[in-house]
Amino acid sequence: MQWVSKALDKITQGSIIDGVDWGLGDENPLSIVLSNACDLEHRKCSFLIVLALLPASETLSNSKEFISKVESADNNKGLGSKAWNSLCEFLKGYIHNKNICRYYFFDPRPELDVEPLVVDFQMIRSVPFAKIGELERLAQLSSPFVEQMVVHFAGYTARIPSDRVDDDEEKKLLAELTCGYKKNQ
Amino acid sequence: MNALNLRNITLVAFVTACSTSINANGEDVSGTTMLTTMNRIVSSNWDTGYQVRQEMNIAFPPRKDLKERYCRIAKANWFQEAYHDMSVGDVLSIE
Repeated sequence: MQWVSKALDKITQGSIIDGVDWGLGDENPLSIVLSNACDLEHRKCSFLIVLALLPASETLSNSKEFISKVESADNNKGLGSKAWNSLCEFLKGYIHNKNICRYYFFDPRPELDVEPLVVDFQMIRSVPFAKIGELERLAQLSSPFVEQMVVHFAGYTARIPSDRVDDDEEKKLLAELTCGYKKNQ
Repeated sequence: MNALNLRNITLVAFVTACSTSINANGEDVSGTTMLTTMNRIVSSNWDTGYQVRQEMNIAFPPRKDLKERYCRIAKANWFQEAYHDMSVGDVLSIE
């Protein structure tokens, strides 16, 4: 399966670009365009909205969740069966983008010679549209992955925090919903 | 001198160089050396080069530097500070 294809002849939603200044000098990551294709086509943008592309392996392996799953590893990074399965399930969730979360995963190879990347929905920037000519189009995230990424972004940013039911109410609801099933002692 | 004028000068210089079979350095600019010459001209000014490449539909050379850049990013202080031991956050399962 190939996530990424050749760059299109103009910048559009899903374009993978270089040249956005994230203020990090020669460690500036590549970016992906989030701006809506219609707005770009009909020049309804004052700004180009872009998200940073980060190295997937290092981003995920640096996370608390990954670290907790490998803390039982031996000196050779060997994991027991349960820990290994847990780690793989964690990573599979990202490979298949089966969850809406902070990152959207894709592998840009073979179109781009770089390791798998994640789009970070928290690392976002607006670039004045007048500077669009300074940006280099490298590749294009293919459809339907562009649309999937946008839906994930919308789902991630539209989360609404709410109160949780307390423990007593939770127990009452569980008693109703478990339909008479119970845990064996 | 604005970008438009510089672009036009670059184009004229390129066309002039390629219109003769031998350039000022005595090199044969026919065939593939034309593209090499073009790359040299356009890469000297990135903005102008980009516009010229677009208009002449010349592909950018394959990027060989990305792997190295991402190795640097992974080890960078800003990356480690932002991402080390950071929770991936709330996860909404959609399967």
